[in-house]
Amino acid sequence: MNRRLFLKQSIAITSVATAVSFGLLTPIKAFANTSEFKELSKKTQRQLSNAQEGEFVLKAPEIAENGAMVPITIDASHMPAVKNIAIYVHNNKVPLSAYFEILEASAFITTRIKMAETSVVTAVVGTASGSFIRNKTVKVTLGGCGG
Amino acid sequence: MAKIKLKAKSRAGFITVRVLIKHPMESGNRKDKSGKIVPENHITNLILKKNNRLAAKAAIGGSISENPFFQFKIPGVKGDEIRFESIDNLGKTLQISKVSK
Repeated sequence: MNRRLFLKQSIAITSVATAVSFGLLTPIKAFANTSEFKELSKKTQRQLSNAQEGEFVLKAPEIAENGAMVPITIDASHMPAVKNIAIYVHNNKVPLSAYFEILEASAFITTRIKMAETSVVTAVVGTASGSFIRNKTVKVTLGGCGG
Repeated sequence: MAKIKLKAKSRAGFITVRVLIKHPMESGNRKDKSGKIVPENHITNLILKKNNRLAAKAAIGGSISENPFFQFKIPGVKGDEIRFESIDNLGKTLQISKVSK
């Protein structure tokens, strides 16, 4: 009898714990899966197709000696009503690197991306009044001989 | 070793948030020496909060570098609480919160 009670209780506790952990995860999970990412990738491509050259800063090295770590900085903090920022690397297998949604932050992002080969890097800034892009070619040298 | 590091420093009305995460960020396209595909294991989503309000969020792919680094700028002052969360494709979450300096 005791054992039965113990089992019942432990099952109850575990199920509650699982529920809580799932409950805690929902806000992130609601936005987190690969299909969502593909959707964002398509959205970025749509943004790319009808975007115009924007007045913001895209900082990227002209020559990256190591394609595994290419620093990228996007500063669009003086543009009004920036909603999202995307980093798009045309020659990568998965071209969309990152998609940031700006809610209560400045439109300033720095990160480091991976690049398979020399490619055009496009920063896409989506604002209330349309999308803006800026391109930069980053050369990736494999042998480290300066290309 | 902490898996995630955060620095928040306020200056002239803005907080600069720097985050460094220790993560392999395998995209699932790479092969190891024996020719086997290294399984996908990368961070998919990030959330940045200030004083429990969402400041920015991001969806990222496997083409962010290993041990990813991010820098954000949020309007705010010294003493604001900065919270950062990440989740990877295996469902593992990492989180950290700090009071801005």
